[in-house]
Amino acid sequence: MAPSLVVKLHTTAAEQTRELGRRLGRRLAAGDWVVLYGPLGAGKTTFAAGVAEGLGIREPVTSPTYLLCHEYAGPVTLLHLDAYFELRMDSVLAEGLAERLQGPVVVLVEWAEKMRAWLPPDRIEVSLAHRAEGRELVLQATGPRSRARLEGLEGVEAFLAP
Amino acid sequence: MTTGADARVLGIESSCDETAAAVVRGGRAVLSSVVRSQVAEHAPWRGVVPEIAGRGHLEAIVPVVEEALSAARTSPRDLAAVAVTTQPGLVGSLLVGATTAKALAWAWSKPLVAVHHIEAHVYAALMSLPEWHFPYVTLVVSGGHTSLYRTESPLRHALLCSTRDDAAGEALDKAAALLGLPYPGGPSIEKAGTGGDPGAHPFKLPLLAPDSLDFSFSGLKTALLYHLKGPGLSRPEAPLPAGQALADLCASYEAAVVETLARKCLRACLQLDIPRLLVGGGVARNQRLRAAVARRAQRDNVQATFAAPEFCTDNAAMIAGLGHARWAAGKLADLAVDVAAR
Repeated sequence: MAPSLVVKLHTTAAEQTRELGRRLGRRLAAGDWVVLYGPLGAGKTTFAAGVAEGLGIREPVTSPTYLLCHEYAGPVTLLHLDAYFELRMDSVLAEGLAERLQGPVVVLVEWAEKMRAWLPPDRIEVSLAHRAEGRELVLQATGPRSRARLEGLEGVEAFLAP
Repeated sequence: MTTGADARVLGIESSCDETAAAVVRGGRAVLSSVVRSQVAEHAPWRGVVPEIAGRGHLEAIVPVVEEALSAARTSPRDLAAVAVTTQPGLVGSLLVGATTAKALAWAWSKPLVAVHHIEAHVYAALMSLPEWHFPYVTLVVSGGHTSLYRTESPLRHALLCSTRDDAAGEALDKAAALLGLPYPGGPSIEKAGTGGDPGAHPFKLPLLAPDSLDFSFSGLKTALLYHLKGPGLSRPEAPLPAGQALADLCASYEAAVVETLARKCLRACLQLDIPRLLVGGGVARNQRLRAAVARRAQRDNVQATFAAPEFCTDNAAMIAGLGHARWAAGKLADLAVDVAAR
């Protein structure tokens, strides 16, 4: 099996984090999963808003923490999940949400570490972290499908971490 | 047969953590309001216990409805309609209330009314007023929502703006998590901030452009995080504040949230030239928010009206109240009505 692909990036403003999300969003198609890791305030929702824009979704993206899953219609449907309240998410996934994630949709998950058992093996992982000057984003493909998405990612050279 | 003024409506609410039922007469007189919350059970887990959301409602709903009818000394045949929240909320939770309401409406041969939870929060504020003079600017502020509306009637609300990222209640909940305080965060921060100096740590208010009505609370959360753990988490091991320092920090953070809310809703009143403001939703229970809004409203000659504290957090009296208004307007629901997350 090919080794997993890892891209380490650095942003200095929320707009840059959002722009990286947009660039990734443009590469995605139904069936793709993007799962986000990182503490409070690391920029997960900002990145997610960019991904939605890149997918061609016009509706503004807000935090799905309370409703657990926001659905956005667009060229491809986006399901934006947030497992911050992990036990609540677990029960909602068991009540039927997990089935919907198998449909022709792009799935974007915040606090993915809190719903690890529900993630597919082939996914794009994005780990966001606070840094003295901005944020660090580590993008990682965990299988051939996600690897193809990341390999075609354009315009990220300027954000490559030293 | 009942007339509008004394028609009794049974309201049922189960959109999130509260299972509730109430009987309201004429859309105004609350004959009973029963609320069973799962929050106390959830608090140790910072969320909801597995499956308790749906299952908890399922176990509570029938006793809660029975208690509401009996406390109101109302028998099913006295009812004009059964009203229920059908959106927004957690689908599994909404389904419990909606299915119950449909079954009761069918069994009792009563009309069914579908109620939008956020519109019901607005109605909760209208219930505080003896007379209505539309339009109003309305702020609905809770864990999941922070929005301003132009309210034309109990049934008509035009959205003016919403939060761009986190709701105000979420900003309080997540701040409480950063500070090691229990869920729900709003009451925790209010309590921990008692006796604190709200000017001790001046957080920059997220007011956005001078004429913008939009809200954005996610930056405030990060500002608190960096205050606690250093810029970019450079001091991850820094101890959490305690005692007076904690009180000062909670009071300051809460002040930033409530000042932002207060300024935005008064800004909307001035921009729309509407000198009447309604405030509802769970965060409207916050005493410092009520004081901040009242202070600015008085200065700007705006009449500010809040939902009664017990009708700020999720309850079924507001569902029965708005249900009455919808019933009176002939807006009935089909037994096939569906629930919706948003």
